Amino acid sequence: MIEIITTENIHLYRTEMDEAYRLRHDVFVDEKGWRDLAQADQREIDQFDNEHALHMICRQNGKVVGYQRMLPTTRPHLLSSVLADLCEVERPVGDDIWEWTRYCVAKPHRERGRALSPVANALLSAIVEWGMESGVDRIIIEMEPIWLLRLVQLNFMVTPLGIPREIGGDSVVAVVAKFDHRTLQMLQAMRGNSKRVLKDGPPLAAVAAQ
Amino acid sequence: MAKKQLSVGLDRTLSFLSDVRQINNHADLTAAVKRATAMFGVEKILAGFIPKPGTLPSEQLRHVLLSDWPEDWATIYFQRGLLFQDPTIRRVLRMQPTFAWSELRSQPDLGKSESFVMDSARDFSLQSGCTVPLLSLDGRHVGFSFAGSHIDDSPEAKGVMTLIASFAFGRAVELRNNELRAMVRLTARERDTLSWIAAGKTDWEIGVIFGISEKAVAKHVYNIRMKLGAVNRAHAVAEAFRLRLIS
Repeated sequence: MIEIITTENIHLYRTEMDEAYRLRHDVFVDEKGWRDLAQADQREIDQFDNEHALHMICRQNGKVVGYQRMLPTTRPHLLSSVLADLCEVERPVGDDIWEWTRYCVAKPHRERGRALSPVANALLSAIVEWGMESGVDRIIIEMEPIWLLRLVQLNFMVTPLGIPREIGGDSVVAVVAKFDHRTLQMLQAMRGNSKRVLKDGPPLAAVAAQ
Repeated sequence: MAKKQLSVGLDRTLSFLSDVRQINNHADLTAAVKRATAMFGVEKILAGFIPKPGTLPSEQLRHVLLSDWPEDWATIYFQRGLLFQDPTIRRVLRMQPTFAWSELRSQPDLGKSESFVMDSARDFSLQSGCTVPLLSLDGRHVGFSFAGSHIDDSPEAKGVMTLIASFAFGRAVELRNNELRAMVRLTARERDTLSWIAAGKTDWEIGVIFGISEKAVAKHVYNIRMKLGAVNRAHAVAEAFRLRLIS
């Protein structure tokens, strides 16, 4: 179950957003070592956590165990500012393309060897469900190249925006990933059910032809 | 940084990407990869899933999806289980970023048998190379190696090889699945049974839908599982989707 949090309902999710910011700090500052994101109060928040950001949380037993943030490309986002060097081509902008950032899953809920963990699958499925309902069919991702193969296998259509570069010891590449009902079908097949992961909203007929 | 025109590397990668969609066999795919990376001095390539320790040589070979590699060296390598002593494999399993083989030589913990593997490779004109570690959706590690007498292993070159390896291997997996799908023949009844299972129906419900007994449905499920090599029906459904036998 994935919940979407925007400026309209964020006041109802103060506790959860606090947990999300702490999860981000645990994963990106402590685990990944991105020390320039470190905050004294252990909550990782940056200039893009503003009224235009769309947050998605995965809760289990009331606790936030998975998180990701979507940023509109029509406003300042990572690729338009801090990570602009990763993009060699004309930067894609539009209402149909958003940037996928700060994807993280709490350690105990990550994959163990085979395939995607339930939380990981839910978060990815949430993007596709949300995109299909909101007129978004592409996402910009700045990622480690080792995961590119998985994206392709999940039926995302991936196009690189630049060559991988080293940033602080990690290799990072910017790509556009296009998705559609086939992407959702693959994610559903991998988890063995076609249940909707997003909370609320209209039911999705994922198998129906698009 | 001004973005006036594409770097040669990205341009080459994007051309490769559009070529790859048209390619429908492994030989052409291998040739396309070599063409796309020739500018870096690549002469040989080898790409496959990393087998578990103890895997027999013949089974190790089945893990290879793309290859244009010195045959004599490959024979020695697989027959003698050198894969399990190969320091590039160790690094691939640790999921580190793309690396040049020259970086391995300066590793402090390089063992004798590991040095042996690397030095032996040079006897077969694999003097230099880069390996791109990848991770497959099913959790298996993948190594994609590029080699030649004088490889360009600059960061830009490694970056392009990383991208080409990712997309090439993705296509290689798809092609192999197509081959497997061509070999798997499900009857119409078996396909329908799988579709109903995917829709959440029980064997009893499917029996009602088809007008046959629950036991007859179970027999269909058993046959399907055998054909797909699936451990249970969820696995069977996943395999059927993956091979695009149902949609």
